[in-house]
Amino acid sequence: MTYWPFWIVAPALAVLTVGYWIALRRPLGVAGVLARFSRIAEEAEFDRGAAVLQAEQAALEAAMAQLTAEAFGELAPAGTEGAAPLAPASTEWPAPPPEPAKAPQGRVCAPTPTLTVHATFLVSLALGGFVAALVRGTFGEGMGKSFAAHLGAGPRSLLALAAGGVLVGFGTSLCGGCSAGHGLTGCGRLMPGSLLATVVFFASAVAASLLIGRLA
Amino acid sequence: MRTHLSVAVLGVTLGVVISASGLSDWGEVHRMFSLGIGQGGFTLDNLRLALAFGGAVVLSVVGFRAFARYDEIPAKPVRAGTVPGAILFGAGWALAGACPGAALVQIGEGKTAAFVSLAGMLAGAWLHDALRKRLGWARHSCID
Repeated sequence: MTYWPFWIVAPALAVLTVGYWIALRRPLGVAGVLARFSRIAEEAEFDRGAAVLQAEQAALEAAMAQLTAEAFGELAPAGTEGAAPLAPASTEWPAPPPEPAKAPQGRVCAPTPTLTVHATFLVSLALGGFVAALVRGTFGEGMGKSFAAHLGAGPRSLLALAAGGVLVGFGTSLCGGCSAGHGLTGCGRLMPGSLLATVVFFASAVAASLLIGRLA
Repeated sequence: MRTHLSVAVLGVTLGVVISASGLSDWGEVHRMFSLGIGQGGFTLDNLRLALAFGGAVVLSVVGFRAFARYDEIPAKPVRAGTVPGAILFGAGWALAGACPGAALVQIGEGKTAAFVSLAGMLAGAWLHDALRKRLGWARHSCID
């Protein structure tokens, strides 16, 4: 089986990591998205609350605009009419000081998207795997020889996957990120928590892999 | 709707890259974390995925500097859960052969056993949440 060389994978992952932030204004991460679906009732409540809040805010703004209009009449934006014409500029006046250089404005983080957006993300990841497997012609081939050689087949191997999954789910929730959230986005921004988490989970995975290799 | 579309395009692309890189292949993940020890040493082939991951981090640093320098992305400080959580996650990644994204990609590739990994991940996250509420832990997930 031939996979892409590292010099294609590395820039592809980096473009996706930075591109995800620029397109969605959310840091790329999968574990946190997945975790929302493990407590879906609570998260659906959160989504509903956010929607209500947004609607209330819009209604409040509309009501305030209406009250203002009733009290003062429809006002044109300041400066467009009614303002006294400016006196002809005196040439004796000193030139106004130049405006201070504005601090560069960055993007701000968007609020948490709805569960349907997150569900779309998870399903599209699977769809990407489906497309890639079809193109390679490996769809439905199973976990592979190395998996069977190390973890066996049947219930035993499934138990290993379940245990591994629980460790991943619990661990990522506890450390606040996965290979994407900490490893790519967090390390890409040199966040101390992410750098530490990445070094530790990589080292832990190396130790576990060597142990699995020894036991099998 | 626009957000759904952007997320779908990015998700499918990420899924293809994860699959084409071998990050959703148990054997390749095992090889990455074995660092070639007992398998022929530090050859380019054995270190392919480790180099890909390391390279992606370096290029992401450059990318964020170049295109998102002044952006306000939520911080990720070191917390009490950082080290223990990362130890558990690393062990689980090596055992299941999948990080959360890769488990979904595996399902798409028709690896039906990955449904078990995914169920485990959901159960693990649920368990953490239940424990957190019971023991009054602070919420560590400043993640999406």
